[in-house]
Parts: sequence; structure tokens; C-alpha cells
Amino acid sequence: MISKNGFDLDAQLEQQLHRQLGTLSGPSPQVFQSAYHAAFLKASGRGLVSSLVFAASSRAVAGLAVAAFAVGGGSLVAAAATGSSNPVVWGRTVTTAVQTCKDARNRTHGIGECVSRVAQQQGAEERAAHSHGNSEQDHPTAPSSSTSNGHGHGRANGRSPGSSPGATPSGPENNHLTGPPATPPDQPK
Amino acid sequence: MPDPDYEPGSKEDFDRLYQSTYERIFRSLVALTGSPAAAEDCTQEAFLKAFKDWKHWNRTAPAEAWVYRIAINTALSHRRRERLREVGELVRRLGRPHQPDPTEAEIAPDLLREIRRLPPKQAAAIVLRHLHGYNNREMAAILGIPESTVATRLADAKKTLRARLGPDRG
Repeated sequence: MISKNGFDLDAQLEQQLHRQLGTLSGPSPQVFQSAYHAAFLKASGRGLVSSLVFAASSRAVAGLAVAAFAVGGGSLVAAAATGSSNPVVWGRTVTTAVQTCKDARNRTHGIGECVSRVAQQQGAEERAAHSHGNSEQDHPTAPSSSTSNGHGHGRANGRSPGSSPGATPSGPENNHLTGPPATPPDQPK
Repeated sequence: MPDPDYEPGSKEDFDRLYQSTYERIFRSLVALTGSPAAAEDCTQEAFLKAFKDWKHWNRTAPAEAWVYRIAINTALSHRRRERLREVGELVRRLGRPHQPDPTEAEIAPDLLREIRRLPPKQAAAIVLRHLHGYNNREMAAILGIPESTVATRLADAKKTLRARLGPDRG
């Protein structure tokens, strides 16, 4: 409405409100920065760690697992692969796997993939046996296969094809996966 | 009028509602609170309240109007708290020179200051009409009042503003 003095309040209001507020934007229009989203995460039991895991790609998660293995968390991976919490079982499983692959291929080069596969298969069998109440396999003094002395070293997984198996049972009596490197394997002439 | 775009209780739909209405609501609340920082707080608080009640949203009312109403009520509550705080501040400052609040320096032109001086419900009506261009029916849905009340609030607000800002003032 224009007053008798030519003052158009409606025009002034629209012009000034748009000029002063029209381009204004808040600092956090993104959903993940909003208060309600944080409340949603909290209510659904997913905190910061969970949201980060959700945001990460599967590759990043795999990378974290490898990194954790490298810095000493390998026991978790080994335990997952072999189905046992006992390091002796991890070494025994890998030892058996290496021998199986050597026998099958009659060579030691390029058996990394084979070892990984066999170790996982044996781990599954271990888990199955364990779930049926057979805890004998996890006992350090339990009878073991003919290729193991019960004090093996090695990693059940994570080796690239073609790399040295590095998991013979001939090392010192040490059950730590993250300890000193195992004795190098015997190389064929 | 049913709002087929949103499903009550759906997090994804609420995210869309947030993204599509955030800027407009934030600007409205800047005008009502006079401070971008306060407006941001009120906007976030309003969306938090709305999200908690999202599964009970009545689809017969537009979702945007519904969340707008929550936001404006949040801003009005904020203003009431601010008024109470200002009274306390005034009592404490008696006899001391006034120190301007640096956060208020961002939005301090005459018009916005005068809008803030209006009764809060009249200020909300002015912002909805002249910043966002809502008509009386839409404003009635947003504010939850009859259209006739919207018209009355607008008329009263303009009468006050004209007296304070127009060339006849003083």
C-alpha cells in the first residue's frame, strides 16, 4: 500500500527483506550435520564409530583390516580364519595347508593362494568341530597332525600369490603370531 | 490437501524435507530472532522437534507448513527467553554504558530491527508474506490460525511499521 507521501511499505519490506536475508544461508544445511540426524544415530545405537564404518567403502574396511593385521591385530584375523583362539591351532592349520599344497603341486612357488584357500577350509572344519563340542583341537597339548609339532607359526591368510609361505613349524617355541618372523622356509634347489 | 511426497516416519523423506526447507526456514528465523547464530540454533531445534514427531505427522497438512509452524513456534519461544534474559541483563547493567553485542552487528538495519520489535506473531506474518510470498491461506496453514486472523495480524503489523519507518514518523 502506498501512503499519501509515496511511501510504499510493501515494496520496502520485500526489497529489504530479500536484500538482507535472501542470500543468507545457514552454516550446516547438510543432513549429516543436523541435530536431528545426530539424535537419530544416537537413538538407533549407532555412534560416531558406526557412522564412520557405514560411510567407509568396503575397500577402506579391507584396508583397515590389513593395517590392523600389520600392527599386531593379526590374531583376530587368524582366529577368524581358523575358528580357534589358540595360536597353536593357527600355526598347525597353516602348516597343514602348506604341506597339502606342496604335495598337490609338487612345488613351493605360487602356492600362496592355495595355502590361503586350504587354511580357510580347515578353519571352517575347525569351527564346525568346535561347535560340536570338540574342544580337543584347541588344546595346545592335544594330538596334532603328522606335519605339526604343536608350536607352529604363521599367518592363515593375507599372503599374495607367489609369496613365500613363511609358515613352517620349525621356529622357536613361541606362540605369538606377531612375534619375530618365522624361520624362512626350505627352498627347493 | 494430502502431501503424497512424504511418508510419515520415513527418515529418507524427512531428510528431503530438511534439505528443501532448511534455507527458507533459516532466513525466516533470522528475521524473527535478529541473529544468524540464534536462527541456526532455532532451526536445528525445530527440525529436531519435527523429527521426533515425524511419524505422527498428519498427511492432510503440507509437510512444509507443518515444519514451518514448529520452526516459528521455536523462534517465538526463543524470543520470549531472550526477553527474559534481556531484562536480567538490563538489571545487571544499570548504571553502566551499553556494550553492543557483536553478534547483532551482522543484522542491524532499521527494518529488521523494527520487525523484531513487533509482537512476535505479527513479525512472523510479515516474514512469511514479504520474504517468502505466502498467501493468507498458506500462512493460515503454517501458523495454524484462521485466514481472518492472518489478515488482522498483517494489517496491525504494517500499521506499526508504517508509523515507525514511514516518512511521517517522528
